[in-house]
Amino acid sequence: MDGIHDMGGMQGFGAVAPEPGEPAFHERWEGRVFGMSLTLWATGGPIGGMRSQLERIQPGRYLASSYYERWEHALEEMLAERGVLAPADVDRRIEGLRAGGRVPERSDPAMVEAVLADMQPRPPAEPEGGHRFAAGQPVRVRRISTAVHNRCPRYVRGVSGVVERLLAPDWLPENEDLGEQRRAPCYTVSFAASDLWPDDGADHTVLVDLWETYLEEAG
Amino acid sequence: MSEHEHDHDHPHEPIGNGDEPPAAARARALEQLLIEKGAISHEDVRKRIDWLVSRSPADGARLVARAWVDPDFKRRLLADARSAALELGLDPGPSPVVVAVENTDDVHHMVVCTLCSCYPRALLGPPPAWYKSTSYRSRAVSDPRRVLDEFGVELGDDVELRVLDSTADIRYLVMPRRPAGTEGMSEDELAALITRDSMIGVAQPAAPAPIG
Repeated sequence: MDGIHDMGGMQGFGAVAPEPGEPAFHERWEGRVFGMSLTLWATGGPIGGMRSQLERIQPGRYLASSYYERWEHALEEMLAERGVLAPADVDRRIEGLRAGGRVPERSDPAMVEAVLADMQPRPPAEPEGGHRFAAGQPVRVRRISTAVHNRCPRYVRGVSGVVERLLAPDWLPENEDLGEQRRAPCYTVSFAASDLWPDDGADHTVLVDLWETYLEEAG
Repeated sequence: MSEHEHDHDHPHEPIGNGDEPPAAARARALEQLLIEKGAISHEDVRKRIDWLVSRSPADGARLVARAWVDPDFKRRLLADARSAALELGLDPGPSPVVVAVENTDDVHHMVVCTLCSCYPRALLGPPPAWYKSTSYRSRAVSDPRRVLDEFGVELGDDVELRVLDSTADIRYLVMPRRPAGTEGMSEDELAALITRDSMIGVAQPAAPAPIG
C-alpha cells in the first residue's frame, strides 16, 4: 500500500546519524518483541512476517515510534487479525501485571526444534513457470493497485528500467493481504537516477528487486 | 529511558513504573498471553534473540577476506554468495538468495532497504539503527553521493555508483575494495580490516596499520 513506510526519495529527514558502539537491542523488551515476532512468523505459514501490519501504521504514529515500537504495534495488529488476542486483552493483562502478576515459565522442546529448523538456510524456491522478461530487456514498472501490501516502491512506478538479473519465483507480497498463495518470477531491475529524478542531476544507478506482476514491456 | 531515581528493587521486573515505555509493558503482557495460549515459549524467544546477537560482521568479513586472497573463491562468491558462505561453514541465513557485489576502482555499490530494514543479518549481525532510519531509507536512493559524503566516503565523479534497494527477499553483501598496502597480509589480518559499514557500502575498509 502507499504507506509512510515507502520512503525512497522522500526529503526532510536530515543527515544520517550513526551511533558508535550501538548494541543489538537498546532495551530488553526490544529483544523480546524481536524474539516473539520471529517465533510467530516461523509458525505462521509460508508468508510469515508482518510487513503488511507495519505499513498500515498510521503515518504520524509511524514517524514518532522507534523501530521496535513499530514492531510491537504491528505484532499486536497481526495477532488481532488472526484472532489470537485483542489489544484489549493486552490492556487487561498490563493491569494484572501491575497488580503483581509475573510472566509464567513454559517449556516446549518440540517448538524449539521447529523454530531452530526454521532458522536453517533454505534452498531457493523451485521455478514455477518461466520468466516473461529477459536480462537486458527494457521494462516499465506498472502503476499497480496500491490498496494492499506490496513491495513496489512508489519512486519506481511508471519509470522504465532494464532487467539486470532474473531471480527465482518468490511468494507474492500481496498474498499476505489477499490470502492467496502464489509465487511469481522476480527480477532485479536497473534504473538510471536521471529517469527517477530527472531534475536532480544525479548520475547513479538504482537496482530494485521486483515481482513480474509489477512490470510491463517498455514500449 | 529517563534517569528517574528508583527507591525499590526489581526482583521480577514489575511493570507500570513511570520510567518504562508503554511498548515495554505491552511486550511483557503480550509474551505472557502468548505463552499461556501455547503460541510461544520462553525458549523460542530466547533462541531467536541469541541467534541475532550471536551474529556479527566477522562472518561477512571472513567471506570477503577469503575472496581477496583466493580468486577462485571470489568467483564462486560473486556467482552465489549463499553457497560460498556454506562452503566456509558459515550460515547465510534463511533468505534463499544472497548476492555479493564487488566494489572496484570504477564501481561502488551500497545497500539500502527503503521499505523497511532488509539486511543480511546472518552474515553481518543486526542492522545498525542508522540503516533503519528515515534519513538513510529516504536519501540512499535519491541522494547517495551526499549520504556517502556524510559517512566520509568520497567517490570520484568517474566512479559508477550503484545503489541496491532490498525490496524482495534477496540479501546483498558488498565486497569492498582491498586496500593498498595489504599485499603481505594474512587472511585473518585482512578480515580485521573489513568493517560492517564497508560491507553495506558506506565505508571503505580500514587502512592497514603502518609497519614499524
